[in-house]
Amino acid sequence: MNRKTLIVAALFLLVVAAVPWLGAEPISFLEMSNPTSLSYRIFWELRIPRLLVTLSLGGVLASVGSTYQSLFRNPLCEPYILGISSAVLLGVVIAETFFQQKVGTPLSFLFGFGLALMLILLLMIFTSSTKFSSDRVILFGMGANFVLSALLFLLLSFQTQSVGGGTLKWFFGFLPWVETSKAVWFGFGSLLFLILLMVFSRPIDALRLGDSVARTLGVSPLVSRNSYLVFTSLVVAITVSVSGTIGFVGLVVPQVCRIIFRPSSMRSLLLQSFLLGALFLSVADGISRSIIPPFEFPVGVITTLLGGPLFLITLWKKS
Amino acid sequence: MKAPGIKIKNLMVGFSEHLPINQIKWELDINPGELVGIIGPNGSGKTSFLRALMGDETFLSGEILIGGESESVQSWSSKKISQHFSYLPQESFFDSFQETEAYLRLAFLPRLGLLGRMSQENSAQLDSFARDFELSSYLKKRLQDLSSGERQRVFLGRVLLQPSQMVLLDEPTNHLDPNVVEKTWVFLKNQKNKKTVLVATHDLSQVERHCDRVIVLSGREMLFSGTVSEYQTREIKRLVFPFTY
Amino acid sequence: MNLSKFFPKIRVSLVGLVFSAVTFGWVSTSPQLTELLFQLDLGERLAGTTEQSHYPEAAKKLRRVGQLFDANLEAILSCSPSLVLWDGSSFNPLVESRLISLGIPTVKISLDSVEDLLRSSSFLVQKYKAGKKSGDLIRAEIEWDGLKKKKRNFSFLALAWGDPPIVFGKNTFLFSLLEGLGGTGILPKLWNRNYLKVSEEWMMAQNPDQVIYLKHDEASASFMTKQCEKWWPRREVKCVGISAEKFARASLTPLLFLSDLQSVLGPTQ
Repeated sequence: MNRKTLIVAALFLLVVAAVPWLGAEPISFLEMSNPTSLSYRIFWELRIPRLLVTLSLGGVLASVGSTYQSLFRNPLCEPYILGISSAVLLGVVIAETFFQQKVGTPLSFLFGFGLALMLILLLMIFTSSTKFSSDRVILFGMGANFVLSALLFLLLSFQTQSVGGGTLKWFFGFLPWVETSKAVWFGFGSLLFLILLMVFSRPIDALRLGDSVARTLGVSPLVSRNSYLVFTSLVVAITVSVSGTIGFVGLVVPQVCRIIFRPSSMRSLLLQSFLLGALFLSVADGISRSIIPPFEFPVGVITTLLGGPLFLITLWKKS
Repeated sequence: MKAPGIKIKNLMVGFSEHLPINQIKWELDINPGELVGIIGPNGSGKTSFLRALMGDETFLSGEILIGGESESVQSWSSKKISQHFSYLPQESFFDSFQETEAYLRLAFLPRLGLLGRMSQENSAQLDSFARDFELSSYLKKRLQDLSSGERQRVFLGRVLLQPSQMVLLDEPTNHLDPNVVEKTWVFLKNQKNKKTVLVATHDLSQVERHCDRVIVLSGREMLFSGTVSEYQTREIKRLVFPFTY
Repeated sequence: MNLSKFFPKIRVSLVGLVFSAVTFGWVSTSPQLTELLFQLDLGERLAGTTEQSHYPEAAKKLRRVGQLFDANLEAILSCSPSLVLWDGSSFNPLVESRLISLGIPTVKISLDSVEDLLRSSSFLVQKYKAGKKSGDLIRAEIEWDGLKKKKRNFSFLALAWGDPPIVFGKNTFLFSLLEGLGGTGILPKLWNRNYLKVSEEWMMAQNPDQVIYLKHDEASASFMTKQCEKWWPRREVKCVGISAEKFARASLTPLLFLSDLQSVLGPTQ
C-alpha cells in the first residue's frame, strides 16, 4: 500500500463519515441516543440509505466509464455514450406526456427501462455483424443519442408548464430516498457488478491493444466486446431508471485514477474507479444538499460543475 | 517445441473489404525457424498479408497450414491463435499512464493466474528479456514519458516476449535510430530456429543482410518469393525496382 | 442525552446552534392547498407549507418545507407530520413512496375543476371536521348551485398567455369555472393537455364571443386588446381580463370574486 492509496482511503472514510450529517434539516449529534428523536430518524432512515445508494451509483458509473474508455480506446467515452440514458429519459417523458405518470411511478419506470431494453436489443443486432468495429459502436451510440434526444425535446415542447418533482429536474440526476433494505440490496448489487467485472476483466486488457493483437492474446474481440456492452448497458439502464442521468462521474473519475494510481491492469483500474467514483458522488451529494437548504440541487449539476474543471486538469496533465 | 513452418495454398487476401484486384492465388512455403522479410511499397498489401496469415478478416479463402497442424488458420479459435502467434501492428495502441513493466506483462496475459499474477518463471523471463533488450531502465516509467523510439522498442518487446513461436512484425523499426535498427535486426536474427519471424519492412539492406527468405509485394500482387540469394540476382531486382536498375 | 425535552425550540447541530421550532401537524405541499385548508377551518392543523404560501396571513407564519411545488422530504419530516397533502401540481411519487414506507399518511386532493374542488372540500370536512362545513364552503356551494341554474350562452377562449397564445385546457380550474357559468370553451380537437400552445392561425380561425385572459397590468391589457384586433379584425370580440394575482390563489377565492367575474362578463342573457 503506497502513500497515495492511503491518503485516498483516508479521504474516502472521512467523506463517508461526514456526508450523512449534511442535509436539508440540521440534525444533532446529541439527539442520536434517542431512537424516537428527529435526528435519529432522519439519520438512519433517510441519510444512511441515501449514502449507500450514492456510493453504489458513483462506483458503478465510474466502473462502466473506465470499461468503455478501455474497450473503445477513447478517453471521451462515458456510460451514456451508447444512448441508453436517452432511451430511459424518453420512456419516462412518454409516460408523463401520454399517461400522466410522473417520475417515480411503476409505469414510468417500466417505460423507461423498457425503451432502454429495446435499444440494447438493437445494439446486439448491430454488433453481431462482423463488420462492427469499436468506432462503429460509438457512432451507433451517437446516432441513437441524436434521435432519442430529438424525440425527447419534441415531447418536452408540449409541456409549457414545469411542476415540482418534475421530470426536467430529474434529468439532471436525483438521488432517491429509499428504505434501508432496498439500499442494502442496491449496495450488494453494485458490489456484485464490480466483482463480476473485475473477475472477467482480462479480455479488456487485451482489447485495449487492438482487435488483431487481442486475438494473439487469446481474446475473441467480437464476442468479448459484445458481452461487455450488453452487460454494462443493462446496468446503466438500471442506474438511469433509478436516478436520472448523472454526468461526468463516468468520464472524469477513470482519468483521475489513471493519473494518480497508474493502475497496471484493468482489474486495478476498476476497483480504483469504483471507490473514487463512490467518493466523488458522495461529495457532490453532500454539496448539493447543503448550499441552500432545504433546496436540493440536482446532483448531476454539482458533478458537472466539479467534474468539468477536473476534466480540464486531466487534459492538461496528459499533454 | 520446434519453430513451425508455414504452408500457404491458394490464398486469396482481401484488401480493406474489397475483393483482390487480381484473382491470383498465392502459394508459398516458409521453412521452420526462418527470418522472412516482406518488402514492397506502401499500399502493396504487406499489412493485409500479415493479418491474413493469422486468419484475420483479410483472409478470404485458401489454406494456411502452420507447423504440422491439419486445420487451416482461419478456423482456429482465439486460444489457439494465442498459442502460436504474436503480432506487432504498424501503429500500436497504448495507455499513456501505464508503466512499461505493466505493458510488458501483457505478453503473458493468456497465462496469468487467477489473481492476475505472473508465475515465477514468467517473471524471471520478463526480467532477463528486459536486460537483453535494454529495457530495464524503463520498467517503472510511464509509456507517455518515453520517446517514440523507446516506446517502439517496448511494443516490440511485448511481442517478442510472448511465448508464441510465430512472430509477425509490421514495420517494427519505425521511429528507431539507425544503430538501434541494426541491433534489433541482429536480435531478430538470433531468434532463428527458436521462432519463425516474418517482418514487413521498407528496409531493403537489412533484409538482404539478415533474412533467409524474401517476399516482394507490389500493387497487391506477389511479385517474388524465394531465398535471399535468389532475390539478389539482378533480373529479379530489375523486376521489382525498374527505376533503380 | 435528550436535550430536545428541555429545549424544544433549539436543535443543536454539528455546525453550531440552530434555532428552529419542532412542530407537529399537517404538511401542505402547495399554496392553494394551504389556502383551501384555512378556508375550511382546518388551517390550525397545519404545521408546514411550501414557499409562496402568502394567503391568508396565518399561512405566512407557517414553516416552509420547500419550493413552490417541490416539497423537500427532510423538511416535511421535521414537521413530524400526521398527514401530508398533495394536489395535482405538487404530487411527487418519489417522495410519496418514501413517506408511505416511513408510515406517514398522505392524501391526494384534486383541485383541477370546480366540481373537484367542492368534492375535495366536502371530503376533507367530512373526515376531519365531522361534517361541519365552514361558512366559506357553504357560501361557495350555494353560489355554484345558483350559477349552474342561470345559464348564459357564450363561447369563450381562455388564454393563459398572449404571445405565444397559450390556451387553458379542459382540466384547468378556470375552464371548468367558465363552463359552469354557461360558457362553451373553444379548444383544439384531440388535444388533452392543460395548457395548449396554439398557432396564431388557429386563433384567427375561431369564433369566440369572449376572450378571457389573465391581466397582469395595464400594459398587458392593452396588448391583449391589440392581439384580439389582430386576430379578429372584422368581429366584435369581447376581451375580458381577470386579475392574474387574484386568479393565482385558485382555491375558493375565485368563487368569492365571482361577482367581479359576473359583472365583467355582463348580465345574464
